Amino acid sequence: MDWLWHGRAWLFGDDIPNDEGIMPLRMCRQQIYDAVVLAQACFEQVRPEFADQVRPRDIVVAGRNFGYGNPHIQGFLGLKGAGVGVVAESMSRGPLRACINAGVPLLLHPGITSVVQDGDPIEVDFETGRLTNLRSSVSVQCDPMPAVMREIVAAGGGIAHMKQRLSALP
Amino acid sequence: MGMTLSQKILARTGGKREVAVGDVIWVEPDLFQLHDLVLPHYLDTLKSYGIDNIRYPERCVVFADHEVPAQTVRVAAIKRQFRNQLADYGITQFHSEGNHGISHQAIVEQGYVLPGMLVVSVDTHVTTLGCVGALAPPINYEAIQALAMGEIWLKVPDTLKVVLTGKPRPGVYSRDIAQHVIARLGPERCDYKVIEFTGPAVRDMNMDMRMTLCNVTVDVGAKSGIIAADEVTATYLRSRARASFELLQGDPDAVYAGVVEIDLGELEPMVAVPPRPDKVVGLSSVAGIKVDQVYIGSCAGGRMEDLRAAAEVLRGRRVHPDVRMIVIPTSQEIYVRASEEGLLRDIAAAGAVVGAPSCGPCYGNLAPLADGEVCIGTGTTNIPGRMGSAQASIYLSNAAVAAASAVAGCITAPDSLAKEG
Repeated sequence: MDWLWHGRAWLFGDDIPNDEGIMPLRMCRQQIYDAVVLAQACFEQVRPEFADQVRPRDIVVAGRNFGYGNPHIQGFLGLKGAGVGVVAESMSRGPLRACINAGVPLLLHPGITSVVQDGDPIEVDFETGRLTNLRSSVSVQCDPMPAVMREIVAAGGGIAHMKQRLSALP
Repeated sequence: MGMTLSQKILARTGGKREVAVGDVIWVEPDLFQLHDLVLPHYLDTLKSYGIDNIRYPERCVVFADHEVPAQTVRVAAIKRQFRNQLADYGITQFHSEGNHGISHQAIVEQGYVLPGMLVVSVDTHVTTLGCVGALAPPINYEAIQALAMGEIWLKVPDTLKVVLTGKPRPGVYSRDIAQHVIARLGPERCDYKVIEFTGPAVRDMNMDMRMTLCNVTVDVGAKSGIIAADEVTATYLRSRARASFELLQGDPDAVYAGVVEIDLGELEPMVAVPPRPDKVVGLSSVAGIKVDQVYIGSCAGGRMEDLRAAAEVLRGRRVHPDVRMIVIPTSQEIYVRASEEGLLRDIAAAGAVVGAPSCGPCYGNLAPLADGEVCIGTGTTNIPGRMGSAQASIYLSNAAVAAASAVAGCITAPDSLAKEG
């Protein structure tokens, strides 16, 4: 997998919830698991233009506590469907696991929203953790994605990884 | 460098000599704690992927707990089919109606969980299992993969050491201590960490109290709560343990993310007010709020400590005519012991409804609250909608305060009830 991404930064503030933030809760109630369908509803309540304008390999740059609340998989599957990666100031345990399980690459770095403005072109290396703002030329070193998480994201998410892993087991 | 108890458990289950905080590793849990609410769907999902085997069926322990007995034909049909699904996947350790309890309680009582084990569960309050020195983080949908592969990735957590000292005053129970601790620590400090309770006051605590302490840690985002095994643990497990065990401890030179000391002698009964379990105030500031329902039960509060406290308040008194009081022992074992001690007789004679062990009201499928209603009780959480209507208000307290409130019809301290009232 190519871990070096170039894309537009989509900037979000602190405390964007998973339900009714990343994804309308109705998509959970309707038990929708199709990432392409879910992508059409991503950030509907907080950023209605996102679904139409986002391009694969764009980066969601979010504040603290991104995706908090019940870690329903729909929100993160929606991000997967949109083809984006995430760089956030912080995420709690449940959403972080859901993000990796959906196959969305992720970096966490406190202070990241102060070096990126909405719409900036940025370059993110999820393997080394280096993020560069191509507008301002400011570069930031984040903790890289741990190998285990990259293994799952590279496989395409938790379920795809499981299938690979099972075929390798004796 | 020394390792914490949690590091040692993760190193062993990850097949490594040592692990450092922040490492992300694959581990093989010793037990998978499961229940009949979600496991049918998970096994169906595995089947739909063409996966006909799980790696370690002998490590799976399953309880009937969320809806016991079945309340609808739909659930009855799921339960009927469930036995075939379990047989298909070779899972034999199934504790069904009558040999059951809320899974976090019953799995400990039945001697599956031993000091130093790693247990994962699809249910959040599995952190309770830290009471015997096991590390027990909750997982969600990934349980499907974890069952198939017999392994899961975990990040080696920091540990926050909470040293409890002093003697609680009369009328202060483990629930008050637990609520005080999570309110004092808060989610920012607990996120992704293990909360390890230690100190002289912990050594004096019985298993009921230890369960309550470890139970609530998940409500502030901790990975788990844990209490290193000691003589109390060894005594509790002596007649229960299904295998031999050691009293595993962290190294003396292990590094902790922080140390917080709390003197239990300073505490008063604590009440969590809507909308979050860590929004905790002293009892006096909510006294007088009218209540419609009182609930004693759940994995956070239907144990002997709670039932004894409730029975003592209710003995010789009556539940207020405008209040419904529901009491649900956490497991079948507790139900039997409470009935032998006469506690259930005293509780029922006072006009409370005593139900079969299940998650029941705390899952919202039994005795749901209507719009605008107020409930006080020992459930796990008070987020809106947890016990029925999202327009109802839930207060969390110890069982004595809950019982006194049932008698008075409003939130009340037990010692302010009239004698022989």
